[in-house]
Amino acid sequence: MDAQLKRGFLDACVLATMAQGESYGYQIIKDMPPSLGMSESTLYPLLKRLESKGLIEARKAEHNGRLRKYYSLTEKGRVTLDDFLQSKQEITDVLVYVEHAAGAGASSRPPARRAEQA
Amino acid sequence: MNTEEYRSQLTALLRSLPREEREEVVSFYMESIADRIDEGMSEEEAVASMVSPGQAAEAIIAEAGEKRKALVPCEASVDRNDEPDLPEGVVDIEGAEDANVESGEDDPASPDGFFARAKTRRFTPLEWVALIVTSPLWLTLLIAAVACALVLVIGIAAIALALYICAWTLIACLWLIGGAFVVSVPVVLVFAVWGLQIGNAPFSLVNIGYSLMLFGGGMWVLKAALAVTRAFLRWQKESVAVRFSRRGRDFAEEADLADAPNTTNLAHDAAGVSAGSDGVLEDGAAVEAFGAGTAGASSIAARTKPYALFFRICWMLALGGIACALVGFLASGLDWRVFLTSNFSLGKMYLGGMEVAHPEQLFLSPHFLIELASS
Repeated sequence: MDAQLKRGFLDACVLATMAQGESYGYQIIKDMPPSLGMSESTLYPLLKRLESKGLIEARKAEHNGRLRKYYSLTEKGRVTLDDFLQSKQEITDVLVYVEHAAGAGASSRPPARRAEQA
Repeated sequence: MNTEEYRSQLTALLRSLPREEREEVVSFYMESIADRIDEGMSEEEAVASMVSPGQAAEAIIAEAGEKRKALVPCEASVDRNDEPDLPEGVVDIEGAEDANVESGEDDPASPDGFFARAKTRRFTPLEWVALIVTSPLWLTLLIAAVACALVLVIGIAAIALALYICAWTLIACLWLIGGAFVVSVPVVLVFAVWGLQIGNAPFSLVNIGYSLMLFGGGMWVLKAALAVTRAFLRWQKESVAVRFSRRGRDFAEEADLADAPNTTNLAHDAAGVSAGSDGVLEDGAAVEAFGAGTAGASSIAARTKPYALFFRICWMLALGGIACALVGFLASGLDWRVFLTSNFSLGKMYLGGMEVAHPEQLFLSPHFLIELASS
């Protein structure tokens, strides 16, 4: 998936992951769809941004003799996630439009040009 | 690469961030490695599955959005190929430093290098303290303080020296005035003789009175000058020389003991008077006594010192001179011109308002002396 396109979905994916319950960095990465290619270098800035916006909150707890940071969804984060889900139809419409427009364009293109591009 | 190597490289790459933020980032990555190990990976596998320290640092700095912040030079152990590919707008200070090495801008001693570093770094409180304490400004302030102290000392010394010179100048003036009074007595007596020669007796009386007043007054002025000189020398010895002598207080006490009788005597000598019956004089009593001398005081002085009689006579001469001048004035019929010594008008010479018909005949006149010399 294109990086710019991915970027738009990352926030929603992380919020959705936490909607199931509080989680920690590595667990969030594992829970995310592999197609997004989430890594720590992507996740950490994202978590910081969401935390600064008040969409998630963090706490530290001991685990196996070390401290682990757990993240959970705030009420504001939940509202934001709901808003994103509300826009599902709009996203679908955009995808459908792109699909149809691209298909129509491909079928109306002259054969010579199609051969060139091929 | 093991966990510690990963940590040190990431820490080094993020040195441009504030310490707390840097530690938070590193702990996040360490936590992920630890979670992988907890899941059953070996340490090497866990580290290998992470993004490289360079990529991690790049993402963190880009997210921080601090366009002017930059990564500090990596440690020697950091793999340079693993350095983050900085996004546009983020200054790669390491690359800039490499470029500046040749130009000398990165020289720590260079002001340009220092300010360039200061613009791209946040100093810790300890660094601020070190910067302030080691600032070259202190040396400048120290030099300025020393210069001010020197100016103050030199200024005070100059004022003290000026006052000292003024004091001696006033004393010298006193000596000169007294001396001039006494020296002028013969000259005034010559005028008295001239008055007799031209038959102007009141003029002669007035000039005789002048000479008596000048002699008596001049001697008293000289006496006062001597007293003031001694008093000043004594003050100078006690207040300046003794206080600054190496022997200090002991020497001062010895000097006081040695000088005490002499000082009293000198004061008696100088003043010829005593303000009290015990014969003890205070500093400056001689001068005061000169202005406010009394006959009673003179009598005490006459008893105590042989030459006090001389000054008593001088005092009487001065009084007699005043009386003589007044008698001359009365004898002239209250003609104020008798108080004039001599004057010239339209080629004629006048003495006490009376014209001199033959100036060349006057005793010891310039004409008289010329003729005396020629004969």
